[in-house]
Amino acid sequence: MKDYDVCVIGSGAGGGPVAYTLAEAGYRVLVLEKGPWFTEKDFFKDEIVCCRRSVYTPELKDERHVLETPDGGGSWSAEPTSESGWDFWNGNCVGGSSNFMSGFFLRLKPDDFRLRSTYGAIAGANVVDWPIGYDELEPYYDKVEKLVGVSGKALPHPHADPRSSPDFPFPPTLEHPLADWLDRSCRDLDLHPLPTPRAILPAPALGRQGCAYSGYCGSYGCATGAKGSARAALLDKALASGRCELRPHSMVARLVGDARGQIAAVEYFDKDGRKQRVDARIYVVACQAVETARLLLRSTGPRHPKGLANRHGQVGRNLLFSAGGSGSGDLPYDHFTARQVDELKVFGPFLNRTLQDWYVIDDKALGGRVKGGSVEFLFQHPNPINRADRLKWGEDGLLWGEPLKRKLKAYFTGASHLRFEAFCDWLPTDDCRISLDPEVRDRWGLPVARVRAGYHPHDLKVGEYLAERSRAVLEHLGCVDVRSFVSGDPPSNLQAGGCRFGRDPKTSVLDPDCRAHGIDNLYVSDGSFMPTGGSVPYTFTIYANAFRVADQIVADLGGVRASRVKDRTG
Amino acid sequence: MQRRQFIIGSLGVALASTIPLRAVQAHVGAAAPESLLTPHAVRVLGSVLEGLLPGAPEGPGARDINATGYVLGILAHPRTPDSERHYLREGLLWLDELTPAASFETLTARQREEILRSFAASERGEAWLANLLGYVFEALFGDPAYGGNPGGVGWRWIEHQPGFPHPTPDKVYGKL
Ligand SMILES: Cc1cc2nc3c(=O)[nH]c(=O)nc-3n(C[C@H](O)[C@H](O)[C@H](O)COP(=O)(O)OP(=O)(O)OC[C@H]3O[C@@H](n4cnc5c(N)ncnc54)[C@H](O)[C@@H]3O)c2cc1C
Ligand code: SF4
Repeated sequence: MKDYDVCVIGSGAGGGPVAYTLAEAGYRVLVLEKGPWFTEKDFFKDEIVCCRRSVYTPELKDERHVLETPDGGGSWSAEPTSESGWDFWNGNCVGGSSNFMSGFFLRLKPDDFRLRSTYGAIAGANVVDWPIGYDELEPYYDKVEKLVGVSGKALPHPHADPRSSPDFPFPPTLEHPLADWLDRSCRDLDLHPLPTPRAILPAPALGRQGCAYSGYCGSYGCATGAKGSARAALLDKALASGRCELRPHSMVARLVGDARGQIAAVEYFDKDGRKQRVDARIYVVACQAVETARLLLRSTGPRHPKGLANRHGQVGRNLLFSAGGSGSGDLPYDHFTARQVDELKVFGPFLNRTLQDWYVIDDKALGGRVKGGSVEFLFQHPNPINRADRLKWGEDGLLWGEPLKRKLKAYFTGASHLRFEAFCDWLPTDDCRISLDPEVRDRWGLPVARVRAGYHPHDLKVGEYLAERSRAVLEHLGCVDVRSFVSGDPPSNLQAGGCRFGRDPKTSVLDPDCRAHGIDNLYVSDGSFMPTGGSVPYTFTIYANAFRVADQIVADLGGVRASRVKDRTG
Repeated sequence: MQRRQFIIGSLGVALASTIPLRAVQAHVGAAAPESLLTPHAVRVLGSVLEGLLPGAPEGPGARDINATGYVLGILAHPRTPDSERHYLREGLLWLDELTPAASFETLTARQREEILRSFAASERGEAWLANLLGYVFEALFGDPAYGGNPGGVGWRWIEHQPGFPHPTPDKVYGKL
C-alpha cells in the first residue's frame, strides 16, 4: 500500500485547492513544502522582515536563479540573482506567495481562452487557443469566490465576464474616499471604473476574521486570516479534516520514475538535509512556474532521460510573466481644500479601482483589433524605508544631509501618491523559458533554474497604450508629476506557463486535465499550465484551475469516498 | 595595515564606547563575533552618520535615532553576511584615507561635508554611502524593536502611520 493517496509538492495557490479538495473527498494527502510554516501569529507589519531581508524567501547566496536578459546587441547576458539582487523567489513557506499577494482577483474573459482564433497569429509569438473554454472554468471561479472568499461588486461594463452567480458572495472591502474622486474622474472620461474584486474578507466569515485595514497588505503576511492565502483559506481546513499532513522544510529533489515510466516516489531533503522518500498513488506538482519546470527537468531517469514529460522538449518553454507597466502621480495637499486633504490623508481602506475599458483595443495605431488589458489604481506602497531608499537619489547623484531631509519631509507630508499598474498579455515566445543551469547549484547541490526572460515588442506597444490612457485619468483627477514606466523587465511575482496544457503531446506538456502527457499519475496544478496568460493577475485563475484539476484527481481515484458522502449528508 | 587596525577591533572594545547599544544587544545577545570596530572607527562611523542625517532644526538626526548603534547591530548580527561586514569596514578605511592628517571625526562639519563630497564623487564611495543610507533609513523608519527609531520619532517626523500588529521582540528578523 502506498504511504498516501496524493502527494502535493508546493503548498501555495496551486497546491492548496488540491490538498483541500482531496482531503474533503476522504483521501489521505501529504503536502511537501520547502519552506517554513508561519501562521497568523508570526505576521507583523515589520518592513525589515517583509521587504528588506530574506525571511519569507531563501537567502540568494544559498538558492539563486540565473537570469538571462537581452544584452541590447542581439545576444543574452546571464547573471546569478545573488549578484544582481533581482529576486525570483516570492514566498517560500506554507501557503507560498499567496500569503503575500495583494489579492486583486480578476477573472479571465472568454476571449482569453481563444486568443489565437480571436485575434490571429502574431509573428514571433507562440499564441495558441486553450484546450478548454471559459465555460469549463466558470464554475470554479464561482467556487473560489465562495470558498476562498472574494469580495466585490459585479457591475455591468463593456467587457464584463459572464457569471453564474449574479454578484460576489462578499461585499467590497472598505473604500478610501479617493475612490469616489477616481470614479468621477473616470466617468468624465467616459470610462467604467469597477470596484476591484479582492481575495479579502471584509468581515468575519468562513471561520476567518475580517480585514483589519492595516494599510499594509501586499508583500505582508496577514495577521487576521482575512486574506485568502492558500494557507488560511484552504490548508488550515484540509489539516482540520485529519486526512491531510503537511511537512514544512521539505525540499523535493526529484520525482522518481518506475520501469513503466510512471511516478513511483518522491525524494526530498528534510530540515536536517537528510534525504527522505515517500510514495503516493498520485503526485501533484505546484512549485510556481519556474520551480515546477525546474523540478520536472531535473527528475531524469531511464524512461525520462530529458526530464519528466519532456520527450518533445516542451518543459520550461513559453514561460509567461505579466506584461504592462506602471505609472504614478502626486496629489499635492496645497492644491486642495482642508476637507479634501483630510479625505486624502485617510489611511487603511483600499482604493480598489480597476479599469477594463481597454481589454480589447481597436485602434489603427496598433494595427486594428488587438488584445489590451486591465489597469489597477492604488496608493503607493506605504513602506517608508523602501520609499526613502528611492528618494535618496537626486538628479546629480546621491543626496544626504539637509537636502535629503527636506526631500523626505516634502514627499511624505506634502502629497498623496497614487500609482497604477497595467496588466496585459506577456506573449509566449521562444525567448522566454526555463532550463537547468549547467554549472550553478543550490545548497542541496541541485542545478538551479536558468530563466531566459525575453519579451515580445508587441507587449510594450500594448503596455504603452494602456499607460498613456491611465496617465490621462490621473491628470484629470488633479495629479501632478504624472509618469509611467513600460519595459520588458519580467515582474518576477507574476509567473505562469512553462508546462502548457494542450491536446498534442508534441507541443504541450500537460493534457487538458493538466495531467502530464504519458504519465498517468502526475499532475501540475499551479499556473504553469497556462498557454497564454490573459490580461489580469494570475492567482484567481490558478486557484480556479487547481480546483478543476482536483475534481479530476478525485474522479481518477474513484470519486468522493463513501464515508465522506455520509458525513456530508449527515 | 596600521589603518586597518585603526578600524577593525573587537566588539568588546566597541561596547566600551558610549554608543547606545540596544540594537547590538537585541540581536547578538552574548555571542559577539570576534572582530568588529575599534572605538576610533565607531567614532568615525558616528560622524559619517551624522553627516548623512544631521539633527535639528529639520527632524531627527543620526544621534536621535541611534543610527550608530543600529549599524553596529548590523555588523554584529549573526545573519549579516561576512561580505557585508567587510564592505562596511572597508568603506570606513577608504574614507579615512581621504582624510588628511587629522581623523574624520575631529574635523568641522564643513570639512566633513567636503570629504563626503569627494568620497561620493567616486563610484565606489557613492555606492558605499548609498548602502549606508539604507541602514540609516532602517534606523529612522524601521520598527523600534530593532533599536532605531526610538518611540517612533522617525515616523512622527514624516507623519507616518505604522501598521498593526507591531513585531514583538521575540519575532523580529533573525528570530522568526
Ligand atoms: C507581493 C506580491 C503581490 C501579489 N499580488 C497578487 C495579486 O494582487 N493578484 C494575483 O493574482 N496575484 C498576486 N501575486 C501572485 C501570487 O502570489 C501568485 O500568482 C501565486 O501565489 C502563485 O501560486 P503558485 O502555487 O504557483 O506559487 P506559490 O503560491 O508561490 O506556491 C509555491 C510553493 O511551492 C514551494 N516549492 C517550490 N519548490 C519546491 C520544492 N522543490 N519542494 C517543495 N516545495 C517547493 C514554494 O516554497 C512555495 O511555497 C502576488 C505576489 C506577490 C509576491
Ligand atoms: S488584515 Fe486586511 S489589509 Fe491586513 S494583510 Fe490581512 S487582508 Fe491585508
